[in-house]
Amino acid sequence: MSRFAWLMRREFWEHRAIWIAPAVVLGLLLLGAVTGNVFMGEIRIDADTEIGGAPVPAGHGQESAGAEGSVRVLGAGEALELVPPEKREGLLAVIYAAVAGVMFVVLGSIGFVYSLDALYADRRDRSVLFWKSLPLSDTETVLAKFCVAAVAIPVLAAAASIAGQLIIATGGSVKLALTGGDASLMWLPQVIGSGAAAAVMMAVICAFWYAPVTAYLLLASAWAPKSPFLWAVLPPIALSMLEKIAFGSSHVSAFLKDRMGAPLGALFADDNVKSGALQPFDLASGIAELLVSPGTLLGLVGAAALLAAAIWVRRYRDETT
Amino acid sequence: MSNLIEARGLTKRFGSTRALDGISFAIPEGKIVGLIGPNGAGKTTALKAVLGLTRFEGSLNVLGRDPYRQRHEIMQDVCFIADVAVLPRWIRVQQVVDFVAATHPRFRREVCDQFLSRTDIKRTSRVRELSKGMITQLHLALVMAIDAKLLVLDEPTLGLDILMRKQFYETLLNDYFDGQRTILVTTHQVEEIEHILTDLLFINHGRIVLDSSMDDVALRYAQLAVRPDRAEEARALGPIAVRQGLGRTYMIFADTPRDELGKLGDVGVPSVADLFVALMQGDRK
Repeated sequence: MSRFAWLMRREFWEHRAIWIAPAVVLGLLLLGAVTGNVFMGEIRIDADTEIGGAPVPAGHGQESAGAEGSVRVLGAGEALELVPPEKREGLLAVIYAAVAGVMFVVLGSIGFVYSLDALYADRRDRSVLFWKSLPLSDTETVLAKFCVAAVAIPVLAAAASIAGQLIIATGGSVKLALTGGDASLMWLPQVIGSGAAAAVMMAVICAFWYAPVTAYLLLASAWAPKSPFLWAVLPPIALSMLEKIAFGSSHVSAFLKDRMGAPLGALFADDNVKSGALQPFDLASGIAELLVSPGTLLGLVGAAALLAAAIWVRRYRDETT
Repeated sequence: MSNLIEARGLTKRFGSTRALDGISFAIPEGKIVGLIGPNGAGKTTALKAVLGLTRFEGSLNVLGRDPYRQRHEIMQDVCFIADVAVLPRWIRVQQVVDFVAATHPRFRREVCDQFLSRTDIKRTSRVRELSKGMITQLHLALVMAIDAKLLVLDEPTLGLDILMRKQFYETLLNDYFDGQRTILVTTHQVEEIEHILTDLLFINHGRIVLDSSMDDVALRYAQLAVRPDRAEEARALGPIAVRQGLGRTYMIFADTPRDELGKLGDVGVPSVADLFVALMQGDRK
């Protein structure tokens, strides 16, 4: 194993949440699949709600009187059966994408915390002097941490998402089979494929689109005398407020909003978002489109500059005064 | 013999105070040098400059390189223990051994394993589960297994009991020092390292007060246990320090002929601690 790989491995020793958290999420999904509840829970609908563009025929679900009038409780499998066949695939694809979404939210939060801690924790406990006693350059050290946050965590999130989707597919098909439904629905290649493609797309977005955010957090982590979270979060907020007060404009907050929002456009066509259907998309062209977009390219330039700054601060910061 | 470290006009300012005030010294290969001074004298600053951890003015050459600009290169040949607390507390013993073995080209795993096998340290323990003494043993095992040219120790035994401290320095001397390596050590427990030092570097207020080999110290300085009736005569010879102890007066002389002193009492070599106190008092005046 190369030195760089060891440097990255060391991060997983220290920040165990990176692999424990997805394991916990997968464990919960598995638990849900075993107990049979994971393939969507019960769905409560008003008596006159339409599913798939048609009113729910009588005889489906259990009527029960709720506080706001009559409510029907449908089993999820039952609900899926009611969806017109041509829309089922889209609905399932959304469910698979939602699994990926949950996984990325969990690991994204962990990546955020990790990036803020990566160059600060060892200064806090003074072990930075031990790491600096080894013949490792600060460039290697910072780049290894960046690779954990920008590459390893998204890859892990995508892998865990796909594992989660397979758990859902297994649990769902068992449940469908038991209730007399069509179990193969869960395993339609285009459905499974679009779930996996959504997970991969999210990983690519994390790695490339959010690279400058990761680098910025690492810089805050290297720089902050205390509380890297505040050092990371307050300057942009202060800057956008100052701009608002001084010029009445809001370019900074627009810029931040643009950067923090994920460019998921490739996944969802606008008119499909409402009906909850995933746009069938070509992963390769989706990635290509993202990578050549000016926003991504400029972001990568910014990430390089921020990383250089983080390396410089790590290298020349006087640690022990 | 070549100089491992050469400092000329080494200066470090913090605002208006000078932690190091233009000091110059040279440390040749194969020495065990004690860098000794009161708190705030500039010891740690000097070590940090040598290790490339702090910016400085003047010229400093470590193993032929500028430690600040070429820190990562010199760390191939330099080891340091800053104090016992710096090993990361979350890491497991096996992990830290594996990591150093993988990243340090001069690490000899068998030496480390051999040393660790003589301790009670369990490979699966995390550092935070170890006692202070064990952490020091672990750190020492890691450092001793590195075939380095220069070992820098900054208060390595801080917070350890006397048995641990003794064991630490014994191990260092017996298992590590081979006459070619160079060790630069700072500590407050001067008396515990004096028998292992070959050279002394006293520092006070950012300046060098004494730069001498132990052999020269023995030649140059003398401690006289003065006979009570000869105290006046002894005082007339101009001792650099006088102290009372157990019913006798002890005086420390610099560059005073021994046969002259011999008439006035028992002559010996002052301990490093006594010499240190004497020179620091002199420096204050």
